[in-house]
Amino acid sequence: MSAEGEPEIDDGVLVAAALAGRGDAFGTLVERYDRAVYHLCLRTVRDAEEARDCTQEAFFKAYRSLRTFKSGARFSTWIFAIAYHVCCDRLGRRKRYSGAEMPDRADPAPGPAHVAERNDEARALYEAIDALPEKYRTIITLYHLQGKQYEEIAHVLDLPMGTVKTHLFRAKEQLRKALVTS
Amino acid sequence: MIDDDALDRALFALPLATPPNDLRAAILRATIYAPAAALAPVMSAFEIVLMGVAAAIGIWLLVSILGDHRSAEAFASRAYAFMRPFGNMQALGWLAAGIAVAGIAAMFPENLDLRIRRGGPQA
Repeated sequence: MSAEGEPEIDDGVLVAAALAGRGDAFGTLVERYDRAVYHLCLRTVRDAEEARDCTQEAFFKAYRSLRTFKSGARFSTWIFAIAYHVCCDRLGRRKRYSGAEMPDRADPAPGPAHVAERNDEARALYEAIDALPEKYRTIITLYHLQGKQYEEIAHVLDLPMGTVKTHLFRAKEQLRKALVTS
Repeated sequence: MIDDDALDRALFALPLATPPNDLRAAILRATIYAPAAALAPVMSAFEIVLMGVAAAIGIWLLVSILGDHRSAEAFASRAYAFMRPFGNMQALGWLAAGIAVAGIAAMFPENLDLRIRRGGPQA
């Protein structure tokens, strides 16, 4: 529900309106998902500047290929899939240019408000997530963003459902171990 | 050891990262407010080149037919030779059957999607 108490317009309706030339409809979709997409990009590439570029590129690509969005699909899954592929391209490029595995970067310098927002438990959990290998880190982030919707996660990552469940199980196991030792 | 439910609760309670202040404005500038989007060509460069080649061939054919009466006669006789089989009822029947099949297939475009997919369904 929106702040005014009116029912929120469905994403599919907004996509149709954007395709009909209503720019403000796409603007509403950006407002709805920019934070989640940025979060996914940040957790995947682990660099604030690159995450910003990936988010922008993902929305740009989505806008240019809005006609390929299948009615009945979830916009969140679609935009997350685009963002994930953009991040993978960036990671591949970074690995190619550096000639080495991606360095483990710390969280981007958080501002004072951001630090205050996180309690110790959340910080420990974020640190544990950041220490995970990329495939587990992304799957945990999508699990966080999309809830227990394994099918949607499988769509985004273009993986079979069984692989998603296995990765998630192993990621959680590693997280639990990391949280106990921290 | 933390149990699965406690880990889930902790995960779902995590705050999302705060994006840079100007990110949304930058996205909107690159999409709905981009002048390039309004002026984007309707056709791709490849389609434009293809149309140019087709137009050039058409003009060359027209000029060569109009410029030489022997060419015009040759063109007419070849066109007649090409069209003659269509006067045959059997050929017309096959043509009608082909058009009908193409028409029926076009009614179900999702069945004609022959692209190779990587494993897993698409969004």
